Amino acid sequence: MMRPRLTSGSIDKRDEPIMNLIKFAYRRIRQLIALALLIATVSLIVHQLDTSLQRTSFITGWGLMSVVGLLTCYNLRKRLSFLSFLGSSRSWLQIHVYFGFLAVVVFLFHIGFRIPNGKFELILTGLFMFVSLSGFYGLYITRIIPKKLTAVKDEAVYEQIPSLRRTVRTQAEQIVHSCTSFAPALADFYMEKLAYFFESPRSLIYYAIPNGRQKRALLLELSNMDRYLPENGRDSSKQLMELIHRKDDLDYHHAMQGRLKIWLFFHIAATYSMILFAVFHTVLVHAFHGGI
Amino acid sequence: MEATTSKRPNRWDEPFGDTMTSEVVDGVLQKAPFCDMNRDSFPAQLQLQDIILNDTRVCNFQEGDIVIREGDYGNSAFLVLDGRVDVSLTSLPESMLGRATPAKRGWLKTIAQHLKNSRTNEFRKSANVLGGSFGARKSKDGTRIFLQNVSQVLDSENVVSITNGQLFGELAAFSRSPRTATVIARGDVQLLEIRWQGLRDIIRFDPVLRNYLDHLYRENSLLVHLRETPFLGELENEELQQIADAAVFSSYGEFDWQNHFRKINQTNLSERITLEPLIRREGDYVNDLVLIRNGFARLSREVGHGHQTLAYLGKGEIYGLKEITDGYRSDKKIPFDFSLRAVGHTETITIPSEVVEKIIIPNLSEQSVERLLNQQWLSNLAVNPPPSDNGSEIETGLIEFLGEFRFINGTQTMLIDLDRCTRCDDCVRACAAAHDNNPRFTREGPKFGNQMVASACMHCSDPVCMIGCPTGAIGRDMTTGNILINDQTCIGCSTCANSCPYDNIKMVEISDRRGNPLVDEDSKLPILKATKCDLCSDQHGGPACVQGCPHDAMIRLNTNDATTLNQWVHR
Repeated sequence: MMRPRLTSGSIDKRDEPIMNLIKFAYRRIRQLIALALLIATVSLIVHQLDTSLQRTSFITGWGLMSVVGLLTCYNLRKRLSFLSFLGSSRSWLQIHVYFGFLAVVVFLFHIGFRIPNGKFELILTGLFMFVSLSGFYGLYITRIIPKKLTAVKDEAVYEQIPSLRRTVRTQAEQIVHSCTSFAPALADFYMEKLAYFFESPRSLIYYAIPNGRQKRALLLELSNMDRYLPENGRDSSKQLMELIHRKDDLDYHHAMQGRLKIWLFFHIAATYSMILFAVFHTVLVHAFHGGI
Repeated sequence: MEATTSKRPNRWDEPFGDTMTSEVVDGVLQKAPFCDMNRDSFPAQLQLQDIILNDTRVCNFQEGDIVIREGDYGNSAFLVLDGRVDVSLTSLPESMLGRATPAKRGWLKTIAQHLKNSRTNEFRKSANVLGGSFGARKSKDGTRIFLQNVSQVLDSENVVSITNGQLFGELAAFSRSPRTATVIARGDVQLLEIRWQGLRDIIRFDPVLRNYLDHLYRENSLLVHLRETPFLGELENEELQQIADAAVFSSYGEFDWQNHFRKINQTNLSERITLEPLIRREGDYVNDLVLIRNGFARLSREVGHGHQTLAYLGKGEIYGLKEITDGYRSDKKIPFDFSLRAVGHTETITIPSEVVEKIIIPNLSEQSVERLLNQQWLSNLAVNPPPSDNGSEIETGLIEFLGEFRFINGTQTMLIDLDRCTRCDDCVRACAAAHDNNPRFTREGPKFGNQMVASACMHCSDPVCMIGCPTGAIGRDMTTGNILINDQTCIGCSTCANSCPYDNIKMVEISDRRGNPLVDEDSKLPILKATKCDLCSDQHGGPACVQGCPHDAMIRLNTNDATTLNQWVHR
């Protein structure tokens, strides 16, 4: 294929291809088949061990520890981004996701498909379930939330949102200050209804279920104000409407991006707790296995 | 409504140099080649002395000063007024010209570098490390970089001397191509630097200089360019010479397009395209084959009251071959199906239809012609786009978006798929880790649908940032084509950052290990360095940003590579 050529040097000499542009659907099918084969293999091995009256819990336990170790390495890879020989982060995430599914299957074999009765094991099971479920939740929201954020008109970097909010508030105040003389009704409305919206963070309920209810209510009330405003006051009102949209978009970004960050915090914190419990569990079972 | 009055901006509101006075101009006009020019051939509003006054400046160089560097881009030519300069016919080492060619780090060095990463922003051991085979000195004309021991550096057998009244650097200035040789001052030299607008006007009204430059272009550049054009590669030298004799070089649009395209984007959508200079009009009969020599051209067709962009043609691509071939086969005159317009600054070489029919088509095999016709369209964005698995095409809006923001210029454009990006900033962190904890891009930029073009250097095919760097610190790596900045030779003048149309070069204040700013001894002002994405040239595995993205949300691609772009958009 003919490409635009450079006079000196050629782009074809770069470290290409950087990315294998495989279709996501193909990749998903390929990896699900591989996962299914892995699970089938694990099931077969456990079944064989069971029928030969061996204690499968040691084998599945160590298998589970290995898989969890591999899953934890993903975080390490992210911290060692400069070591390119470790492979790309996207490959590691794929491994993390599919081996995460495998870990759940191995775990179920390990506990014999029943809830453990010991308190310590119950806590460990709870932690494992929390890590797994938070992982599935993370996978779900990392595929859903980006699309929702893309649908918002403007992008916002999470760390810059507080400063962007302040800018919006300042702009709103300037608009209101400039129209106080000819549109006092708008200034009153701002003080009564809009000032709080522009100045304050959203409620916890909004962060749990972000929605446009407050925005729509404010826009409706503001548009109703038009009947009390002169022509130039209506122009100011339109500018305020734009800023309400902007502020709401920023709040939405903050809530959604915050969710994408917070789930990871819980996932990682629970993972390390689980690993501590699992190591202790391993020491205990080896200490008290009674030579069997 | 009362109108606000203002003085209309004029071409010469900002003269090229502030040293030109009428006495200096008179002195210049006494010298060759100006003394031989017929001043009456210049129109009243564009007198030769006015061009000299406003579009030129006198520069003084000393022994060893580098006047132009091989590989640099420039928008001016030089005339020797007094003295001598030497043109090196052999390429001087990159390091001697102040450029950096970073070697790939091994794993141990990479780990060591990461451990040594500074905790302060933009840490530098020292601000000024010019040295070795070259040095820098300040003159009233700006910073001059000079070679130490120039006599030893230059091979006397591979040097051409240029003396009083001779011109150099005009081809690169006109054709927006890299300088082909390094020119060094020998002794005290006085040069007249002529910016391309002035040179263009002098050529327009002075037939002697025009013919001289045309002869030079045909002799030195055109034949080489035709030979490098893939579809002409099958032809013999004699046939190429015939084509060169008949070919016409033309340029369209403004040379400094980077200063104007944002204003064009403020006009309404249907008007924008009509503001671009027309190269060939839809419906006109085809009289010649258009070969894009430099820049980009928009292929569009009229739809309703506006124009729909179908593709962008880049360097080396052709328009009109299909029509000429069809006409040749059917013995009919075929009109152009689409209009061709210059996007920014575009240069073309046109080859008359008769020459194409007489020399090119008969000398190419049927398969070659068919392959060429297919390749011609395949290399474009939308016209008959490359087949994708779901048969989808790149939508017109995206094509318009890439053109409006001039992203078509990018050979390593950073595209982010916002439907996949979780805004985790792992890409930024990976970039920072690879650059002493200083990220070299920001995850922000214009977006179209779910595609965002992030603020990262695109390593443009037309790198306007390279025009005017006084030390040659910014340059194109000869082996990879990447645009790199040599931090050691950057003097922080901001020329590149101001020229970059995409604001992808950032000027940063450098600091010592404790985070204290490094300031200039004389002015006490902070010392600046130009920084930008270097595609992690010194690291294995390609750009750290792409490697660090866990969600398959980022790619660096040639925006004109339709196949990759199509695959990316329709994953």
